[in-house]
Amino acid sequence: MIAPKDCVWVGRELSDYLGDGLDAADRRTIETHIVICPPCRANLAQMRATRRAAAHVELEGLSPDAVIALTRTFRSWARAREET
Amino acid sequence: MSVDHRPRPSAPTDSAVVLALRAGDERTFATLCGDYGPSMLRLASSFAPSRAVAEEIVQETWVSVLLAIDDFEGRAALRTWVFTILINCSRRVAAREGRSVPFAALGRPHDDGSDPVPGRFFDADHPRWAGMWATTVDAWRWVPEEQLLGREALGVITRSLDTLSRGQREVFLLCDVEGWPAEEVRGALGLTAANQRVLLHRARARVRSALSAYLGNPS
Repeated sequence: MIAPKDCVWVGRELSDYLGDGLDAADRRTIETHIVICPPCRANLAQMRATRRAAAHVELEGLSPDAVIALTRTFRSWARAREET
Repeated sequence: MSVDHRPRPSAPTDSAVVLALRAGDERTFATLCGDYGPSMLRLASSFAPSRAVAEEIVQETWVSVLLAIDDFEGRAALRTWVFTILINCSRRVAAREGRSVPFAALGRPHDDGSDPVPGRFFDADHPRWAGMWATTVDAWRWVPEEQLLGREALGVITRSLDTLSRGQREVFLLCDVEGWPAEEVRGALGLTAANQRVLLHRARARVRSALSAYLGNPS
């Protein structure tokens, strides 16, 4: 069993902390802890940076052929709809 | 704190989009495909033996969306609905392709229970340092923004997606890459809050490790 306020606990809850998913008491516990714990502070900074960088990841899009096929699909769907 | 710069369709926008689709507005459809396409393709890829099949899954998903567009009632966000259909399509196609992954790998809601970064804490029964850091966390928190958000670092993140379990990848993609709220992600993937939290935490820790290795501080 993990003690509620050690580094392992803080590490587990960091993700929720970043996503505003923790209640006020737990948030305070983390904020108090990181003031006195440099590794946890660094850990938080890294998790936060990871999350920020992830928001900038650009994934590969559909191939031009697939886009053309989709457009064609949409047109025939829309036409069929109009006719009925 | 907002980390997401992507458009977030809210409910009223959704209904406008749905009305435009129903009216056969091609530009609305193209915009939607462009916005959701990359994430749809990446998610579908986990189920598909090839990129061609993944693209097929995305095609099929849009066909299903169009055929059911009159039934969309706006109870969930449009994108949640689209991605739910995508996951269903992916599973169907995976089965058809005979590439159906073993059941245990499907989402792996409970994961393998291991800490993604083992050996970094003293054991819980350590007389003095239980639950404290056993290693230093090297601080790369001062990494300049242009390096963190540079093409290479983002490439490291993209490649690290391959090392995640499917469940971790799905949750990470929707939560952190797309910036969806946790509740919507749970809705689209059919996860409990607890599962979603665990998957997201493990995924972030793994991606962070990859980033750490790239930034010169292997952890």
